[in-house]
Amino acid sequence: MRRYKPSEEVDFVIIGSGAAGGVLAKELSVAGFSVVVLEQGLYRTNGDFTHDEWDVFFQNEMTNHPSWNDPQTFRHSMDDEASVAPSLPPAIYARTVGGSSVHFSANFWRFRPIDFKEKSLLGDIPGTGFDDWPLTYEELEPYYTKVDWQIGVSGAVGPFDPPRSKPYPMPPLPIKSSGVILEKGARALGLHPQPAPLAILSQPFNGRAPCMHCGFCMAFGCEVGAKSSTLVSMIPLAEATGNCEIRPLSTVNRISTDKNGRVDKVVYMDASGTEHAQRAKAVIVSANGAETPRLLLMSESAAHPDGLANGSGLVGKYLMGNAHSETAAWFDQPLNDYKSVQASRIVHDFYESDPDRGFYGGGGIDARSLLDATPIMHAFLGTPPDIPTWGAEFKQFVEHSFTRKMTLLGSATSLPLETNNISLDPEVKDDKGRPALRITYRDHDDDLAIASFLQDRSAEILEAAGAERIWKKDVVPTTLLAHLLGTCRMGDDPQRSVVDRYHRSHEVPNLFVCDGSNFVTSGRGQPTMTIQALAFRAAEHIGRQARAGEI
Amino acid sequence: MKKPSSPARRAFLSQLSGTAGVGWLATQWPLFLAAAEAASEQQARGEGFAALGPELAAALDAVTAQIIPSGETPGAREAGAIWFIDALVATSWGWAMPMLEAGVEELNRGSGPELNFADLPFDEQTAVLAEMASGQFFSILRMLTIAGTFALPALGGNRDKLGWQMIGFENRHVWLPPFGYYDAEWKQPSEIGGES
Repeated sequence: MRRYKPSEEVDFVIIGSGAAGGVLAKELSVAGFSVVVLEQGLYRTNGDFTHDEWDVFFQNEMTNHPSWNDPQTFRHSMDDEASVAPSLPPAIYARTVGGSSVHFSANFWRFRPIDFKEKSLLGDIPGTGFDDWPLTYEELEPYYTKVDWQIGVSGAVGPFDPPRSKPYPMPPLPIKSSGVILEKGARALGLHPQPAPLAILSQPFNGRAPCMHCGFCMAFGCEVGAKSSTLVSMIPLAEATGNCEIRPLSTVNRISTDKNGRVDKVVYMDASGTEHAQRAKAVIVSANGAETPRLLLMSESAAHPDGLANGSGLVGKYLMGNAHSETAAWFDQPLNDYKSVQASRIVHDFYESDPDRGFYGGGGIDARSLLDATPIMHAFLGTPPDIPTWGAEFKQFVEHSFTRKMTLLGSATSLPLETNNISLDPEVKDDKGRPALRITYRDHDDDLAIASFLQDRSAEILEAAGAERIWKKDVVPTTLLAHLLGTCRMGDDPQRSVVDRYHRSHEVPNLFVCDGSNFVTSGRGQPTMTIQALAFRAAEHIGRQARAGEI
Repeated sequence: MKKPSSPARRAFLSQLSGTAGVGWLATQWPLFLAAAEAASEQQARGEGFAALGPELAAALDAVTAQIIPSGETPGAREAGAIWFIDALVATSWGWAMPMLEAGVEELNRGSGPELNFADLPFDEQTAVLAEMASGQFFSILRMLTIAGTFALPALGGNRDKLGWQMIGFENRHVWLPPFGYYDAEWKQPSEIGGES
């Protein structure tokens, strides 16, 4: 792998090696640019990934800062005082090369044409930042296809899918018992279940091995590299160019600007906390929808008193997490949903918003094992409220239910609200004195309504499929966000957006932001494929601008 | 309901019979009991623990046996959850020792002037512990008991994979379809394309 000295001015520093950063690193280094990727996490590879639930879920091995305590604070309302979350960080993401594409469940839904122009179609929603995107599905489609074929996506076209220019590169993963139950129940109700598109290989592809169905997808790294993280799909190609250095254990403190208002250096700490500054001609922030705004806000200066690229005041605002509902069910025969990928079937009949429902929102339902697929989490989380949490009856339920259960997950829209945001905590700091990430979030009532709606449909499906027992887990305002969207939205108007349609900051010409933070609306709950399509598109435009001397 | 057995379904059923179901576990129960008795004698002598003293270990072990009790099948005690807790406290969870000691002190106070918690009959232990069930000590012990019963055996608990056998889990790196009963007998409707 190529190494650069911090004093060497590289063409691009990319902050974050995840779903977007990994794509940008590959595209720009293949195009011949010199690239340094700063990643705060470890450089784990396939051999480092285990089935160790204790480490992953209870020690937060992949989500904690690798070198020091970096707390986050949470509150539901801007009138409340935020407090440090007791266990899981409220904005949860993986700190590792490849970012959250390493530990996600790899559900890979394209957005549809309506996702980009819903305000034009449905009208304004007062009190929200509901808006159209500055681009269309048709403009993004070639890049979705690049994601399919370069990242590696398995699937089959469903009845409601948006137009596509090329077929899926691989057939879907095999159906699971939970998928069969969704098929049976949904068809009985006249719905249209379809195979789940996944960024997991069903066949050997691009020199990578296919899924072995071990079942440890969600929150775990894939030990055979079948999950199409950027760690296995993009980063090796970037490194092979000889133009790209992945620099792990590098936590960025600030992006500094010169007297002309252009960014010139990225200041970061290594694992010991020692500061370094990497010089760069241009900087792309791909640190995710929570850390990206935190970094821009931390990069305030005399010239940028409210934070870098924050002339609109919208950096950190409009955080969207995708509302969701969970409906668990138990059946009389073993499903063994702990095996293989999370989801094998989905239902997209409720994707579009329907004014007759009386609220805005849409979403999808998928059949999956969710967080309690594995033994510890099963016993820890998997018992419904009428079962005691300890003792003989608890044990009996835990014994009987592990192989016989499944979940229907409803994944839905979140409306963009200014009052839902990322800011710097005024009191709490991390071990190195950086202000803690403060999350202020309460789902809009319509978000909770669509989540409940999807839960009601899920319960009907499970009942139609013959479930012995159904548990509708309460739909309540969330305190944990795994999807971090909207906090540096894209748009044509510098007063109402942070970056332009090509991800360039409106006020700093050589600063780009490319990750989930650019989303104008939330989509229906599976954002990663769109993050990556945007990254392929951004890389093409940024590369062209750089070659033309326009950066 | 008797159904014709497809090759896939037969493959699934034979896979199932090859794994250790709860029924198999029940027949092996006396063996585990003997092993557990030997372990608890060792424990009573204060041998083998890296961090826990014998009294603390006995009390915590009794708590784990309340949370996932032994019965027709082994529980947290036989799975050696206490060894998981000991290994944890001896390494990354050293900070938890004062909390564990304080919790056990409270249990012993609740157990009356004569006996320690560990020496009470099972049902009396249940009543004492129930008084503390809404507190932090209990919720941490519940988590540790579950983890100690079901975590990777390399972490000290889940001895002989007893926890996994209880629930029907096998920690494999490769599975092949069919995965369960319902997909074994599933036929893709012809109107939507087949899949490999």
